Amino acid sequence: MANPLEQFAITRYADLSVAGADAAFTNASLFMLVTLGLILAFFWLGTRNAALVPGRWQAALEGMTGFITDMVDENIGPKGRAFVPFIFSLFIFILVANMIGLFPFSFTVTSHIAVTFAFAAFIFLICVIVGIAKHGFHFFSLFVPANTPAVLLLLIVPIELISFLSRPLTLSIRLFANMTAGHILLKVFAGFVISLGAAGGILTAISPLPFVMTVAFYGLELIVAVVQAYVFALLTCIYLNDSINLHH
Amino acid sequence: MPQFDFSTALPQILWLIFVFGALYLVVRGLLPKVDRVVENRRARIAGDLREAEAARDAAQASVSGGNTILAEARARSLAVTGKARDAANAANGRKLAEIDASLKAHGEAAAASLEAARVAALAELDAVAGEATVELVQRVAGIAVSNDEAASAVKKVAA
Repeated sequence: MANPLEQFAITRYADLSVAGADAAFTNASLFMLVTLGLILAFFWLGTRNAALVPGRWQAALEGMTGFITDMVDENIGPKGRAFVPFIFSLFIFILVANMIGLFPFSFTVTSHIAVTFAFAAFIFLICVIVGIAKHGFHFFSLFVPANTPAVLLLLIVPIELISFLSRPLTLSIRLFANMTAGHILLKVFAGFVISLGAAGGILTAISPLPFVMTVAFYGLELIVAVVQAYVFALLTCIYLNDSINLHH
Repeated sequence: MPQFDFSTALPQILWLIFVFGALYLVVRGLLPKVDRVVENRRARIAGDLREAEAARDAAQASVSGGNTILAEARARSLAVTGKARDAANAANGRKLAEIDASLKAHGEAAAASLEAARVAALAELDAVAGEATVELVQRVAGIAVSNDEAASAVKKVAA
């Protein structure tokens, strides 16, 4: 049976370096470019004939931007409008990368902790910078919930601090683990179909069973791909809201 | 797991910065355009709704204006027909009274001439009865009585 982790391997296509740093063109870079290309094609189709009565692509694009704008309005409020382009970019990039990953023989950009942690760390930095720029030292009142007895503060402030500092980890690991686990599962069950089929006898007869499982998991993974993109964007909104509006 | 081979992390992150940065710049340019289209549509729909409401209000106003005009016309026509009916009634009454009066005059004249004729006829009847009495007495008793004696006797019997 083929190694189910093979699909995550990074293959170097060409060595490149930017200011001395290793910026090799790999299959990850290729699929990031494919993701970008598909998104740009979607944008092009969605804005090609901007009409009063929208066509299909225009309606899809407007629905998506409206969805993210509403989410930002709901979770952050009017001050969050400046972050709509960032959150929309995040959502559509992760969504399309997750979807591309579901094609056989493709590579899932978001199944690598390097990518998801880069996103999460960047979001964490933005939250801290925005918080301090807007509220100065008062930003650290985020760790001191209002109306808490002084004795409890000894316990609550460290908890709040740890939960704040663990945000980049949970945010990145959630996406990475969901993608990785789902793809391993699909690969394992798909591998069973082949190995059982080749085994002969009664084993060949039951080989359709893992195939049925693969189809079912595939549907589940489609949902996971969309939900994880949504969760990532939603959590980004919630974290930004803490920095912008401070109150819980 | 290839994910934990951190020698491949740096190129991935650098490419991510490049690709996501490009996407972010495109989205920043794109979103206002999309928002403008959506906003235009919303404004257009709101304007159309306002126009439709104004047209409806105008239609309602003209309907109620028409109703007032109709009511006025109805009242005026009622007044005109009422007046005409009253005038006709009055004229009829006058004519009826005239006819009644003339009929009564004719009736009285006819009754008077009838009475005169009756009186004359009665008077004649006395004379005829007197003459018949003279004749009767002559034939039955063989006595000649004068007309005047017969007349007074008839009168006495008739009384």
